Amino acid sequence: MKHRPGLTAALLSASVLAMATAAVAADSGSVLSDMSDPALLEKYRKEATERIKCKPIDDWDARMEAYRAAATSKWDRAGMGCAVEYGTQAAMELSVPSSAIWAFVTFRVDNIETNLEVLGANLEYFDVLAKSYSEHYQGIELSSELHVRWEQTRQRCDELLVRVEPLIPDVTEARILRAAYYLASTVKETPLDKQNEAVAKATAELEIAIKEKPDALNGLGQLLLGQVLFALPEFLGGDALRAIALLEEAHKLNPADMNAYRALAEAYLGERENDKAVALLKEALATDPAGVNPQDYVDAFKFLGGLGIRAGLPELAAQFADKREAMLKEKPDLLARKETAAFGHGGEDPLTGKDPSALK
Amino acid sequence: MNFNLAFGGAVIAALLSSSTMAAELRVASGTSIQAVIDQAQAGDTILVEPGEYKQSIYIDKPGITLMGLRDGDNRPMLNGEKKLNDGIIASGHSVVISGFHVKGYKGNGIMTQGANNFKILDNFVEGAFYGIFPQFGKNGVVQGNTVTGCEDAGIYVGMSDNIDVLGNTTFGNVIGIEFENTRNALMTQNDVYDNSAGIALTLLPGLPVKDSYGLVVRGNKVIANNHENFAPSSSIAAGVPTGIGILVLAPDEVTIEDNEISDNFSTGALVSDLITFGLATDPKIDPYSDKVRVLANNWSRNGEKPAGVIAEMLAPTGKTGLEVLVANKGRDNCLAQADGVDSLGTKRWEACTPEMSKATMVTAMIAGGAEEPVYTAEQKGRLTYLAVCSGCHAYDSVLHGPSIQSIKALYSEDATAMMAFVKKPVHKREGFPEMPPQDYLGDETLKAITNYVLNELGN
Repeated sequence: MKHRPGLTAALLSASVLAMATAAVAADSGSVLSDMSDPALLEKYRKEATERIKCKPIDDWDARMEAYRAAATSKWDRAGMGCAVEYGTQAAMELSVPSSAIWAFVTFRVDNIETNLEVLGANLEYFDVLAKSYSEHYQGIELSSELHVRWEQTRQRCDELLVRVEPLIPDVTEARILRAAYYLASTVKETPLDKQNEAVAKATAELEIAIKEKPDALNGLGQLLLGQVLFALPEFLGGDALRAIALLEEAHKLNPADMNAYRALAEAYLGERENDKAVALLKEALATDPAGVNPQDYVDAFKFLGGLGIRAGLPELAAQFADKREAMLKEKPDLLARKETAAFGHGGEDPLTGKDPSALK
Repeated sequence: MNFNLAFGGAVIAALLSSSTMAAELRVASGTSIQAVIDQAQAGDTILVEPGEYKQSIYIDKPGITLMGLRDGDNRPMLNGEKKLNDGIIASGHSVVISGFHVKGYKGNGIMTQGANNFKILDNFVEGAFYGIFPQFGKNGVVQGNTVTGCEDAGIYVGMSDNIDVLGNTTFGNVIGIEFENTRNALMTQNDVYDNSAGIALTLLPGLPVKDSYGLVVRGNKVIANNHENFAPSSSIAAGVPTGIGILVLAPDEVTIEDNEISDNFSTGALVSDLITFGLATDPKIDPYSDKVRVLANNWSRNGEKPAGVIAEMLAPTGKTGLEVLVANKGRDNCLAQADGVDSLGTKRWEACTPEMSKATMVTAMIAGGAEEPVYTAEQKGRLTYLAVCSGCHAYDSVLHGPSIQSIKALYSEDATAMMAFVKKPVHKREGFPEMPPQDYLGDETLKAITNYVLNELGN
C-alpha cells in the first residue's frame, strides 16, 4: 500500500449521541431557524454544487497525475477535492479482479492497489471536510458546500467499495478500509441511527481484521478499534483498558502517526495516567516533520499542545507552539484553524483578545 | 457656630449629590426607551410605562435600573416582531432589568455581556433563540422570570461566575435552564417543565473559559421535560436529547439535591462526558465530569419511555425506567443509595455521604459584590461584536448576513462609511435580509466595533 489513511482524527468527533439531525423545524423565527428553511438550503446547495465543479480531464494518465499532485493537499479543500475525484475516475477505469489469487494470475495486483489507495485518499478527504466545520456554528454558505462535498465523497467511496468488496475475504487491508469508511463517512451529515449502525459494523470488521493480520496498514485497525472502544460507554461494550492496549500497539506499529499520538495521549489523560501521557507528548514533540503531512503536523501539534496545557505543563505546550509556528511560517498555505465567533460563541476572549486555542 | 454650619453644608451637599446620582426617569408609553437611557446618568432608575416598544435596547452605563411599570397584568412589552435581533443588551455593571414582557426577537431576549453584579428580575420572555442570557458576568442573579419558546436555552448562564438562578419558571424551551462553562452557581426553587431537557450543566469546547465547577442544583421542580426538540438542525441544541430532567455534560463538582424530578421520559438525570456527545474536540478541556454528587432527590416515573438518542443508546441494554444514566469516565462521583433509584453506568460510582449536602447554601454570589472594571474601547468592541454582530455575521462565510471578510474588504479604507451604514443600513445585497439599524448602540460603541472589525478581527 502506498497510501495509508490517517482518518482517525475524524473519529475523535464521532460519537454515540452525536449531533442528531433534528426532524422538527423551529418556528420561533430565530436567525438559525430562518437558515433552516428548505428552499434556502436548496438554493445554497445548488450554488455550492456549481461553484465546486472540477475541470474535466479526459486522459487517464493526466487524471492520475492530477490526482497524485494534490491528493494529500489537506490544506486545500477545493484542490484535494478535485484530486480525489480525478483519482476515483481513473481507478474506476481499471479492471479489478474478483479475488486476490486471480489478481496475481492476471497481473492485476497493481489495479487493486490503486483502487485501495484512491479509496484511502477519499477517506482522508472525509477527515479534511470534518475539520472544516466550525467548532460551534457555520454560515449557510460553508455548511452547504460541506454538505455537497460530503455527499459526493460518500458516493465516490460507495462506487469504489463495490469493486473492492469481493476481495475482502482475502485482503485484510480492504476489510480495514471498509471499516474505516463506515466510521469516517458518518462523522458528519448522518442521522444518529446510521452512526450507531456504522460503529457496530466497523467494530465487528475491525475485530476480524486485527486477528487476521495485525500489522496490516501499519496498525490502522488497532488505531480505529482503540478509539471506538475508548469512546463507547462501558455498558455498550466500551473498554478503556483494552482501548489503551490497542492504541499502544498502533503507536508501536506506526511511530510517526500523529493520530495515534492524539488518541493515545487523550486516552492516557482520561485514565489519569498522566506520567505516560506526558512521556508520550514529549516523544511526539520530537517527531521529524519530514515524515508527516504538514497539515496533520500543525493540527496535531495544536491538539497535543492543548493536552500539554491540560496536563499542567505550559512549557511543553509552548514547545509545541514554537514548532507549529515554525511550520506555519515555512508553509504559509497551511491552515492555522483560528476559530471565529458566530451566534455568540467562539472567537477570541473578548476581555483579553486571546485566541482560546492559543498554546502560550 | 461655624463648625455646625460647615457640617450642615456638607450633609446638604451629600444629599444633593446623591439625589443627582440617582435620578428617576420615566419613559412614556410607546416612546423610545433608548433615548431616556442615553440621557440617564450612572445610577439612575428608568421607569417604563406599560405599552408596546418595537425596539432594541443597549445599556452600557453602570448602575442603571430599567424597570417596567406594571398595571395589573399589563406590563411594557418589547416586541422584536421577528425582525429585530436583541431585546435588551446590557454591558453596564450593577444593571437591574425587571418587569418586562419581551417577545419576537431573533437572537437574545435579555442579555448581559461582561456586566458584573447584574440583576434580571420578574420578566416574561417568549421565543427568542436565547431567552435570558448573561454572558461573561460575575456575581449576578436571575430571579422570578418566566421564559418560554426558546430554540436553545430559556435561561442560559454562559461563561459566568457566582450566579444565582432562583424561583424562575421555564417551559416549552429546548433547554429550560443552562449553566455553560460557568463556575460557582446556584440553581434553586425553579419550576422547570415541558422543555426538551429541563436543566443542562455543560462545558463546551472552543470557548475562552475552559472549565466549569461548583454548580448546585437544589430544590427545583424538574417535571415532564419531554418536549420535542425544535432547535434548528444546524444548532448545537439540536443534539440535546429529549426527555431528560437534568443533563450534566462535563462540569466538575456538581451537587444535585432535594429536587423533585419526575415524568421525564428518557431519564431523570444523564451524566455524560463530551466524548459521548462527539464534543471532545478541545484538548484544553477535561471532557469528564468529576465529583458529581447526586444526593437525595424525590424521583418518580423517570425513564419510562426513552426517546430519540437515549432510546438508541439504551436499546442494546434492554433497560428503561432509569433515574440516573451515566456515560462518563469521570472520578469521585457518587449517588445516594435509595429504593427505587435505578441507575446504569455507575459501576465506578460510590455512595454519597451526608456531609456532601449543600442544603444550607444560600447563595453562590460574592459577599460585597464583584469588582466593576471599566472596559477599554478594545474590550467593548469585542464584547459587543460577540453579543450583537456575531448573531448574523460569521467571519469567512455567509451566515444570515454577508461575511465579515467581505465587509472588511468593502470598508477597509473607510471606517466612517461602515459606521454610517451600521447605524442606518440600506438594503444593498440581493438575497440577504435587511439589516436592522444598530444606532441604539451609540457612537462610542459603534466606533469600538468598527475599529475591532476593521483592524483586529481575523488579523
